Amino acid sequence: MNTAKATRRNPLNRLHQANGAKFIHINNAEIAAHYGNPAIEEQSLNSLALCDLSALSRWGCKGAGAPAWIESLSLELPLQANKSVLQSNGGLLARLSMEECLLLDNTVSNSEWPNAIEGQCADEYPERVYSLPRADSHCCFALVGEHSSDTLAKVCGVDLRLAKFANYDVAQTSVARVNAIVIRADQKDTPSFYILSDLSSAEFLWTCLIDAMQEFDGCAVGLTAFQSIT
Amino acid sequence: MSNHQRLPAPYGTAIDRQQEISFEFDGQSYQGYEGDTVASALAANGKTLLSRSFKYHRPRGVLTMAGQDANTLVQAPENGNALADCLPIHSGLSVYSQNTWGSLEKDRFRFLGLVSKFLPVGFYYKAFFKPRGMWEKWAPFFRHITGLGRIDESHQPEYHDKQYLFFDVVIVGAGPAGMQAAIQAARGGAEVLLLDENAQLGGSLNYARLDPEGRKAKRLSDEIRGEVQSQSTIRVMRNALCNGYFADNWLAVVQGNRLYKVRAAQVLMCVGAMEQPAVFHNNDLPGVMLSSAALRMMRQYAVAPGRDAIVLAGNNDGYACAMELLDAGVNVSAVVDLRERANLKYPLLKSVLDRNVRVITGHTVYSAKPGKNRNHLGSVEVRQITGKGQCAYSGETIPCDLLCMAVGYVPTYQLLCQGGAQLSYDDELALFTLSNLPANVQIAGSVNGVWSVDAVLMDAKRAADTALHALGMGDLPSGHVASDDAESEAVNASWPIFPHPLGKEFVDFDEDLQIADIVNATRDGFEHIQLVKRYSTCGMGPSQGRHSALAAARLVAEATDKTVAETGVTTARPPFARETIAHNAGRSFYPARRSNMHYRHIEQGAQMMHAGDWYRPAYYGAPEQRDVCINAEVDNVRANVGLVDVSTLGGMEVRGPDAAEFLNRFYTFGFLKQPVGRARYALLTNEAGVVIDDGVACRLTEHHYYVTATTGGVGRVYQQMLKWNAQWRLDVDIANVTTAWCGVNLAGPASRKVLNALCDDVDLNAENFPYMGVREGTLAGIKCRLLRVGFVGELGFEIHAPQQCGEALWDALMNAGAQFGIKPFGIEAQRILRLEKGHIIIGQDTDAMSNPMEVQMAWAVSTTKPFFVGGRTIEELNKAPLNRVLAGFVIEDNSAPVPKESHLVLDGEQMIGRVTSCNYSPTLGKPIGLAYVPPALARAGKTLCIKSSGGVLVDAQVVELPFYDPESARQEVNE
Repeated sequence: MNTAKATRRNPLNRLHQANGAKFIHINNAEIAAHYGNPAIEEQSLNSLALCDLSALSRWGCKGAGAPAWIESLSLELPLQANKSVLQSNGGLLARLSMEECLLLDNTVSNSEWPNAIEGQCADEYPERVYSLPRADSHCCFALVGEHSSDTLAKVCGVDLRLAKFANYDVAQTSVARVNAIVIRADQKDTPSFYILSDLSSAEFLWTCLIDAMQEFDGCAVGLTAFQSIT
Repeated sequence: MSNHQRLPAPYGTAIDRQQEISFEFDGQSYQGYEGDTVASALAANGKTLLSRSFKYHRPRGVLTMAGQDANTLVQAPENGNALADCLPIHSGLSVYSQNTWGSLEKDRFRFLGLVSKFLPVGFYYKAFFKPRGMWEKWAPFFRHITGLGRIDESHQPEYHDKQYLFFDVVIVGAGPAGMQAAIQAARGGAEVLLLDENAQLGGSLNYARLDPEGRKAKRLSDEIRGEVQSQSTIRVMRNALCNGYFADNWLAVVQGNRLYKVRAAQVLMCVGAMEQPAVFHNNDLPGVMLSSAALRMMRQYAVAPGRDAIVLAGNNDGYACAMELLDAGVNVSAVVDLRERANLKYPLLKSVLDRNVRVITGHTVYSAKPGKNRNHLGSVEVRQITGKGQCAYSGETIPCDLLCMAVGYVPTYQLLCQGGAQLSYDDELALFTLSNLPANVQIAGSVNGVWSVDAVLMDAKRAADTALHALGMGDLPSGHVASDDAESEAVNASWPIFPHPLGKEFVDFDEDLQIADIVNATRDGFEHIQLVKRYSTCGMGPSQGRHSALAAARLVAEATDKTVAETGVTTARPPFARETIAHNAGRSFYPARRSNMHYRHIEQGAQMMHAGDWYRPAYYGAPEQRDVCINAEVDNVRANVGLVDVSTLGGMEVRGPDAAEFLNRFYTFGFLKQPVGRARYALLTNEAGVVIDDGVACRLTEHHYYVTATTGGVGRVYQQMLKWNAQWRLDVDIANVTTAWCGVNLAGPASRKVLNALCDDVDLNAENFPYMGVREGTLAGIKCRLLRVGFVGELGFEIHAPQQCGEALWDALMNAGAQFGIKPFGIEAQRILRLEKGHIIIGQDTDAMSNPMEVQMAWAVSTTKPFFVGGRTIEELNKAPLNRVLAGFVIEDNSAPVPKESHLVLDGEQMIGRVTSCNYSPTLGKPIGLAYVPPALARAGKTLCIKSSGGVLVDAQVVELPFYDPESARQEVNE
């Protein structure tokens, strides 16, 4: 891993590197593309896999003017809080409260769109729209596969069973005792949850999730495998 | 020894006769079958003596065969207190009896019971605490002769973890009521969890005798179990112990190595009832057991519990037991019925009479006597009952090796009472009943006072329908199910307690408590049942009063002239049954936070320390060189330049048209006139005028402040900000961005040179970037916020950058600073540096009473603005003289032990203050510190007497603060 090239650095990459990760450069950061064999990783997605997407872009805003401004950008805003909507560009927009939004990228191809909107917000300085640097405040993991909700049941007290927690629902809760935003966003037919939590707790949370996944033979996968189902 | 006493199939539903297993007990080899417990396999080998009692070392054997008593405690390899009637055997298992001296059969302390008169309840409270210090001498002896198993301190517990489960309906207990309720709830559309502590579903259907032919229980069991299995929405958990009921239907369930945290919309407690022993002389002898225990041994383990049996009946279940014994080939000499008349309508009674068994009504077993080997029942003395707890003066002795007691039940109330249910006593039925159930909890079956199996099944349907109705899945059923057949007449004998002149009528088997012990506790003045428990230890043993609560309540009621209902039982608290610490501790989560630069610190040799959830570098270097390293770090900051990671500092964005007004109300200083591009010290007090946090407020734009807070205090500050603005409703947005921004403090005379090497879009010149100035710029390509602050008393810059850029920022600064002698410094050096400059740390130099004047920070409090949080109180405090002041001191005697935090300041014998900070100052060459002292002593030149380590009194001289660079020339260095 050549961290000298990237200005944005994910401390978790040391852990990924120890597990054999191969990195690619994206969004001025490095992200684990795979851990040796992307094909095997793709197979594990059906059962259980965890992917570190922290290097991808994300951004948020809040304030009384935020909903109107977001809608003025032709983005689709959920009508209720704690819901999310898949955008036409493949990204996800979650409404965390009536006046707070989170823009989440999950693809390399569109990795800059939250950044672009962040830039637009800084330029336009819309009234009562307050920028939230979610890429630096939160890590982002994707927990994917049939056993993803079973795994979450070992670390989270909210009922996230697939029959109870609908696709694109959002829970702002505690995962392994750290605050987290959990968004269900199935990838094609594969159950999938985004877990965003305090960036400084990323290593702790990753370790807890990997530990909880052992029971279901879950494993870490890189971006290559994850993108095969997005 | 071999399995020579097994009954033929269909007895033995729990065992697999095809799989023989060898195990050891007390070093001797025994044979059993797969599915056997240690107790059942030993019983099959004719071994009935399992343990010695806690206090008198009396021989003990099976009482419940259900893991509900302490008689079967044995020492297993990894379990100091395993229950032999629950512990499955496996090949190679080796268990030992416990609490013995010598052998189990001939325990050397077995004669202790002979002197029991001299060992009454509370004897050690009275006898061994005087003269002072005597208990320490006695304690090892008592610990040797009492006590349970031994902990294997080398044992490494297996992996344990926890999991949440969610269901519409959770049913605790998979007996007939639980299974029927599960079926009904599942049919109604609910997702159901059915859990039972046993491996087999069925509860009492697995052993009870319901009809003369002995077929009904199995038929019902097969039918209901099959239906449970056919319902796809029922999840069954076997060997799953519900150990706690908490608010809002939160159940703690232990299964295997996992603690399940189960949430249920509706809970159905179908937990049954626990059979109770009769209280008579020697009722604890091996061979004396509950009727349900004998039934379990036969039906589940194919073991005949004896050869010659007597049944003591206080209800009709005694006759069911007698029939089962007869069918198993056990000779039943008599059924001794406590009742004046037995109910001849009861079919099983007629069957017993048809088998020519002698039925003796109106009599009781007055005493049990051991046989030849003293460790097992040899005979019982049966006497006529002449009154409440009274018998005729003589009776009949009947030889026997088995006495089965069927005298009544207590509903399994513990889980329900944990949730606030009320346990009442029905004097007519002599039975505890439950009422005031927690919300969304139903009960069914014998725990609900319904006894006949047909009524139980109806009751289960009613309870399930009630739950379904609450879930919006069905109609509300009509009322309580009446239980009106012969089986459901009074199941409890009203007073199966018969004192004996020689005592040894045990109320509590765990603690060897006899009738007199309970009565004497009340005579010693401990009349309340809670006090009786604590004084006598009744109910405090491993079985937690399961078999003593009813008898104790009855005896206390009698002794205190109250009703049993008034007396009640002691409080039921979780856990219901024993659980391992590993279950509670296993896979606990201890969040750990790391800054983006964390691994750079590790790579540079940092010794990391915890600061709240955060890891922070304490110092860089080997632990054995700690002080040298810290002092070198201090020296380097003073002489060259140092870099410290301050990412853990709290950060809040306060934005909006009212941002300045908000801060003006929130902090003690004035902020309305603060220019853009300037930082201002922000001291926070609460409504009581107590200092609770500090930081700096940086005005980035007219409507945008970036405010820092202490590492430990940021959560509270953020919460207080939200709370106050909920009241003030100012047009302002508050965001906690602590993690989003990492930070470093670049400090030292060369710090500007280092920055100049990296930054070309900010004028770093002292005139254009003055002390307490704030700028936004770019360092090594990273957008940063630059704050000119002086916490450590040198020219310094706090640089805040996006968190993910922290490591790159660190690298850039270290590289650029190499030519200027830059070194990282840790928290320990920072503490010394700030102390030399006289800066306080909130939480270390303040306490829950510190106001700004006491800590010499009146300068940070505006006296002109109309309001701030705590302002009114501070105004009042200012009207009175100070009681104490935080003063600086130096210690000139370098050989004196350096005082530590909280060491006392003395005036003769009187404590007049305390040290809050103290360290050796490398810069000044002597120890310096801060201490709260009376105002009169806070003047420079005064001498303080500090009681340092080892009680050494150290003289310290009060000096003006700061200790270092009072003109603050160092932070204006313009190199």
